[in-house]
Amino acid sequence: MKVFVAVKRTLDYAVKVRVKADKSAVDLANVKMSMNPFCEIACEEAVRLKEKKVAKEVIAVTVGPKAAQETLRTALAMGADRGIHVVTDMRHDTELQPLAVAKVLQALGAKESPDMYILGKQSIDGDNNQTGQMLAGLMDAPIAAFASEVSVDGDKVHVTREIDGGLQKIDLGLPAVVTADLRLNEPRYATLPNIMKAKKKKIEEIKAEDLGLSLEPHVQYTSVEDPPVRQAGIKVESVDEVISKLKETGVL
Amino acid sequence: MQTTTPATSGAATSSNLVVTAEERALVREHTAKTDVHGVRLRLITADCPLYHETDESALPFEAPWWAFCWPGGLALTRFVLENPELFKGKRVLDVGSGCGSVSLACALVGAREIVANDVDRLAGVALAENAELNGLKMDGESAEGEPKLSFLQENRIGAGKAYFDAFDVVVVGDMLYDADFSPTLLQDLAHHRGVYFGDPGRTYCPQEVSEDNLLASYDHHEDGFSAIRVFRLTAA
Ligand SMILES: C[S@@+](CC[C@H](N)C(=O)[O-])C[C@H]1O[C@@H](n2cnc3c(N)ncnc32)[C@H](O)[C@@H]1O
Repeated sequence: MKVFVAVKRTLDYAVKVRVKADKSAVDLANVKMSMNPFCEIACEEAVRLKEKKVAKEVIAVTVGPKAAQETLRTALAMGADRGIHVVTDMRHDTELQPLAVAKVLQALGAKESPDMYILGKQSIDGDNNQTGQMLAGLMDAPIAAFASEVSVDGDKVHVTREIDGGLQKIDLGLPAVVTADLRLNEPRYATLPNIMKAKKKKIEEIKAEDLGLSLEPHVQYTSVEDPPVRQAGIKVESVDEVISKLKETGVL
Repeated sequence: MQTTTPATSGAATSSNLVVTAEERALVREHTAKTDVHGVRLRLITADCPLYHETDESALPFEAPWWAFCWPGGLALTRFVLENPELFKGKRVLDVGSGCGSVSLACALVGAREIVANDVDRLAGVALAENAELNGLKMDGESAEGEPKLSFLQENRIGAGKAYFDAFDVVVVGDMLYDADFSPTLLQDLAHHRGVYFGDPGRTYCPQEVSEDNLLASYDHHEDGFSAIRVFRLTAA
């Protein structure tokens, strides 16, 4: 089968985010960018399907600025076969929203007819958790969100999902959309020989405008604020003091 | 256009590069000794720090293709060692020699002359290092009857049929991944009667190889591949 894996360039999970002075968004200037961690998990799962000979071809897709090509190269170094880069200058944490990305994936899917679309459950910038669901909706295809285990058996995908009460097992027909949760796998690190090979793999560039889709945002960001600064604590000398402080604050 | 002495039978070719002691030290510094089907090689193995370097700009050299034995070369090395009669006494050209494992295998089974060809200067350095590890000498200092091994740093892809035809045997390990040179190389070698490709099925590898042209297939379950094949394009 053919597998699409969607990967997104986001702020690196380890950087300390700063809000822009005008509070319009997070400051992206001069900060380290990486592949969204949930997309890494999605990519790893796609590559494992290929290694198990379930997938014949893994195509990594990204929507984003020129620099997002790096993210595609990372996916190729992990083992994806080729890449498709839909180039747009829209800010990928605010302006480029889940519905737009879902439409792009649907349009590319119409050309390539993948059997499975694997996405991260959400990206760590917008934290929307919507793209996979919207894609399945647009395609009228089955979806398993929050996957913690995936296996394929002929034309059925068995997925274990992480839900509030525990785990849920479901079977999906193809084509199917699966979104990766944290425990699905542990993504590999690319090694030098794989990075070198990835340089030679094909990346098709498509201008977002050329897809003829309307990608404008439906949600407007009014203000982005830093979380409130935590108040400093106090040191107590004795157990009695703890109890009296707790009583003072009404906890006891 | 660059001119090179075309390889003619008789006069042995000699290397067109002089390897310095510093370059050899650089190769030694970043590689470890390992063994590929009995051929001793210095490669960047998983034990070497550079294997895990993910930032190419942090490398002390250009992308070190010569520091790995790629699946295609791996299969071809084995094929040469398992089929010495095909290479013994022959004049061999190794296109994209990289670490040199295929060239060295040819020398070990008694090829008369081997021209290892690569555009990367450090591939020549690696070959010199690796030849020594296997008790082989570069450039005809060897005794009568011993293989003459040389390194040609130059692009010959696109040189046309006549250039390649001057060699009895042409070996091509893992060279079918590149949009720029792979199609040309396939054209250059389409009618050569002594060509051996080793390839795991990269983008430009011919999909269909007739049973007659498929010479070996080795299991290789890595990177999503299942086998590496050794094949030719025309029956000998
Ligand atoms: C994937 S490596 C294969 C090396 C070796 N044959 C093996 O299988 O391990 C490709 C090699 O081709 C070399 N190369 C690239 N372009 C070339 C050209 N035009 N002529 C000769 N060699 C070339 C690179 O420097 C590199 O060493």
